Amino acid sequence: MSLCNRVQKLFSAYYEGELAEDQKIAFEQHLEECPRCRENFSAFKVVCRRLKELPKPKPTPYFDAALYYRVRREQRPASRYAVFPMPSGRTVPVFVAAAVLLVFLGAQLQKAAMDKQIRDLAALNDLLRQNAEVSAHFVVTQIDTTANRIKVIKYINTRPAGVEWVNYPSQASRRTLIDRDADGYPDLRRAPRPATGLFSPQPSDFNGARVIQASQYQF
Amino acid sequence: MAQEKDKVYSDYFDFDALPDEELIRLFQNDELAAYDTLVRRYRDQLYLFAYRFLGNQQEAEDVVQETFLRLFRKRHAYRQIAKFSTWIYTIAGNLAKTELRRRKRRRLVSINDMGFDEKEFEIEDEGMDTEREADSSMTDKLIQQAISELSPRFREVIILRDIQELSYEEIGSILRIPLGTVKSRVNRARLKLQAKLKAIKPENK
Repeated sequence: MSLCNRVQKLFSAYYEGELAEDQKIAFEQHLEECPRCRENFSAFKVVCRRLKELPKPKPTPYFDAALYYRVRREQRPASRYAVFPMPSGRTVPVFVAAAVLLVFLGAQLQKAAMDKQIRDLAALNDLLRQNAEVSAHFVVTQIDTTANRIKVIKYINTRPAGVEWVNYPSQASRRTLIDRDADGYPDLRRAPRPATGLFSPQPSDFNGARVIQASQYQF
Repeated sequence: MAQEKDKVYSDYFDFDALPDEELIRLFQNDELAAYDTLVRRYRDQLYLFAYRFLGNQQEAEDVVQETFLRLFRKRHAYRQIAKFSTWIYTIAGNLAKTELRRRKRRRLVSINDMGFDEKEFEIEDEGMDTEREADSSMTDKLIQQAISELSPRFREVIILRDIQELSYEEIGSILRIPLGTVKSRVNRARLKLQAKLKAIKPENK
């Protein structure tokens, strides 16, 4: 290996001041004597400096909103179709047909159940509208058919006549109505604890607010 | 009274003052404000890394988003033995390299299938100030082009060292290579870059 090659290997160490005193002297001496290495080293220094000076672009302003949107999706319960994994690669067609049929039936069953819940809720809402004088805290919920979940729409203070409730919604579920930023995305810094049901209140969150007398109102 | 009730954990603690390892520990206990703090702390530097590595704004954002999503999903995979910063950089680095391979495959497919050459592959320079004087932006562009021509293993060390200004020790633990190897690889990467950038003359200071 030529001396020039060995000196080149020390460019970074010299540039960053990591050479021992005697190596440093030898390095400088070689640069004195060798115009090619001298020129290379000055170009080397320029490259290092220019790299440090490169502009440091930042992500677009939409970055956070997009990220939190995806994070929120992570927190949703799995899609109703997720229980039927798509067969991959070479699969027997009969199996594929069976899977498709199962998905179809599953979706129909789900839809029927959801329809019933929606009818129940409509009836419940009627009752709530007629309302009564007794003051308490109640949750009004709505079934979000696209996301397949129950979501809280408001809290009221009056109890509908003829409906008996057990307990009040827990503190945790009350706080599932979380703050949103200007773009309508959840502000995670103010997100409630515990994290369960953060963006998508689960039915279990409303156990305390369940209707017990009129059985058709159970959800 | 009502305000008192609405207060959440993050109102009582200054998350920005906590070290990464404490934040990830809180996040593993479902404290989302800690996640938010980590995202804000690492977003820009991971983006800079991905942007210089891939030379493309959109791909860089995708990589960083995916990195943070993995952080969200796999928070429990983190063990306190490693530094958080090296862990997150390792994830981002692997995703960026995957993106590079995918891009190569895409180009291969498009050439084979469509029967034409992608001649106009150009390094995008969005996100930078276009109003700047032509000379300096030209050289910025040239430098980015030269970085993109380096092989990935040289590219990553030069970005981590010269653009992100990380220590050799940190680079070694991110890339899981010994300190001596990091140093010699950085030196070789700089020499390669210098050879590619002969156009930049020392006198244009």
